Parts: sequence; C-alpha cells; structure tokens
Amino acid sequence: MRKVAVIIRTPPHGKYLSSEGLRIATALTLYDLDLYVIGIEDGVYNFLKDADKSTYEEHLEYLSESGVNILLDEDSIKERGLRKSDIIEKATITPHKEIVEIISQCFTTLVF
Amino acid sequence: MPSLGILFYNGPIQYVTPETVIEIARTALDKGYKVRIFCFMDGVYSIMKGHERVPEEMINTEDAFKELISRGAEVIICTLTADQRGIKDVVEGVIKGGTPDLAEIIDEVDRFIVIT
Repeated sequence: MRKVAVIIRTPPHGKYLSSEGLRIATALTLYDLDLYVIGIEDGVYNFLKDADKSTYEEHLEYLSESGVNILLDEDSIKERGLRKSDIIEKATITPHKEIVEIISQCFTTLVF
Repeated sequence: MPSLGILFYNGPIQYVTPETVIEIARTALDKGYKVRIFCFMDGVYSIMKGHERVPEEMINTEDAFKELISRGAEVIICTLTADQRGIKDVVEGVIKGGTPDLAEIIDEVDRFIVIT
C-alpha cells in the first residue's frame, strides 16, 4: 500500500492553501492509500481548538472519521509555545524524528 | 511505459511554477514517459485561453500546454477551482475533473511530484 503524506505547513489565516490541502486529503481517502496528514511549522495552527476552522472543519471531521492519521510535529508545537491542551483531539502530537521517518517512507508528499 | 504525475497550484506570470512543470513534462515525454498533470488552484490560469503580451523571456503557458497535450500528455483541470476563478475557456484537450482524479493519478503513476 502506498504511503502518502499531505503536509500542512501554512497557517489557516492569510492563505487558503491549508484548507485546499485538507480537501485534497479527503479525496485521497477514495483510494487504498496509507494516508497521513502532517502539520508542521505554522501549519500546526490549523489544528488549534480555538482556530476559525470554517473553511476546513468538515474536511477535518471527514478525515478523522475515515481513520486518517493526523500528526503534528512536536518541535513545531513547542517552538510556538503551544500545549497539548490547545490542540484538537483528532490530532496526535508526534516527535519530529517519527515525522521525518514517515515522510522518508512516503511514495509522495503533497505540501500546502 | 513509465508514468509521471505532476500537481501544481501556482499561477503563471506571478510564479515560475507552471514553466517548471512544462519543462519537466517536456523532458519526461522526451524520455518516453506517460505524463499526467493536475492543475489546481491558481495553476488553472496556466491553461485558460487568451494569454497575451507574455514577455519573450517567459513561456506562454497556453501555447506550451497545447503542445504537451498534442504530444500525448494528459492535462486535468480542477473544475471547482476553475469555476471559483471564473475560468470558462481552456485549451482544447484539457480534461475537466476534480480532486478524485488527482487521487487516481497518485494511485496509478510510477512517480508523482508536486511543484510549488
């Protein structure tokens, strides 16, 4: 099974890249792929409980219900002074080393 | 025949991205690859008709995508993002599709790259 990562590295405000990336991730669930959504750098802001998620809330819900792994880079979280309690429950804070390992195993990565 | 899939989402004139896609696609076709390109977000401007006064040092993406299609490349436009931008008239041979087509490409090709 092909491992594919949709990497969200842009914040939810100022650009619509992250919401469109998450929309593409929902389409990828149509195929038998080992799919990961990975939030890094400012992309982790998309997964804050208090973020305005109006343009991508339904995508997140769908991805979560579909069992897609939603991982957030632990280093990016710490660098921004965020805590686990700030993050939505659907996302898992993951050590940077594990994120790199997963990305290195991917058939392709889609960066938004 | 080996196959290559490409996704891009930046538009012409403002970004070099579409020109990079075109150059990679040309090279892949030269080497005998089946090429499948998915145009997303502002990338859809690359295949709309009516590009005028494109500086000589830049690639006219409208003409270049016509050439790629004539050489057998499959070029798919994301209809939703094109409609959102009011794009109605696109290069002949472009396939109107959506993100499920992108998923199919990723599932089927030998190599897949995203040009940003």
